[in-house]
Amino acid sequence: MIFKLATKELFSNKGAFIKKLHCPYHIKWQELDSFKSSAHKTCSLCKKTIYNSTDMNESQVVDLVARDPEACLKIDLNQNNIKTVGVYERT
Amino acid sequence: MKELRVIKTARRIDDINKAAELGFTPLVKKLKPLKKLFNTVGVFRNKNTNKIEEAEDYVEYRQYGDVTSYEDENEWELVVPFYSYYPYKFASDYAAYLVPSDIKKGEKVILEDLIQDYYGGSFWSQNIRVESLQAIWTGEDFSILYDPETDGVCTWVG
Repeated sequence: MIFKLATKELFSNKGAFIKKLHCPYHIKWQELDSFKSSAHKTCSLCKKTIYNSTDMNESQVVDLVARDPEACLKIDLNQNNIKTVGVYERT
Repeated sequence: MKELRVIKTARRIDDINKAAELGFTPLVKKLKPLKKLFNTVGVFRNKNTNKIEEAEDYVEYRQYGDVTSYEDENEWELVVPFYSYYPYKFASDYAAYLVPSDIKKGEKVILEDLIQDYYGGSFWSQNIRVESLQAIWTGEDFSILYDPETDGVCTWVG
């Protein structure tokens, strides 16, 4: 997957748009409640699961977003399954 | 976890004055670029193709083990020597937090678009700027709550 940092948009490796990360509450991953024995977390404000994309492959993320376009993801720039581009969008 | 009020930032004089007309108090601040966020770049010309490339050193290491070397003088010429620059662009050299009239001293808020620079972690050799942080209204200013353990880690949720 490709993550465009300047716009927070996630694309497939072939360049197809998957989703734009946006949290109206500006939640930090570290503030979220953990599930027992799960890499994912839950948000008490919007009552949704926040999926840790670190160990998900592209198909899993695409399937998840296809089923629920509002699904929330956590992305770390340094995770191995994501290539980050557009860090500054220099003009 | 409690839902916090989001404080908007205006970065253009017209937007600041429009917000003032609507009853917000603009808390105007000058931008002060943080040295830690500066990057280095030089421009190399390929002597065979005449195309140019930007690089931060004579050997450039990128994500996924990509390495590009510009050390071969038969192939590459440094046409713009390395220099330091601030990589972020903003509409103006100042900006304003739009303070709502009903904000209470001690209220914790989200500063959605930070005016001040805070280090948000490193991605290869690039230092990332934090975009938003929590803060507490002191009655005169926002006391920003920055924790390098949670805010300096290059992680996004949404």
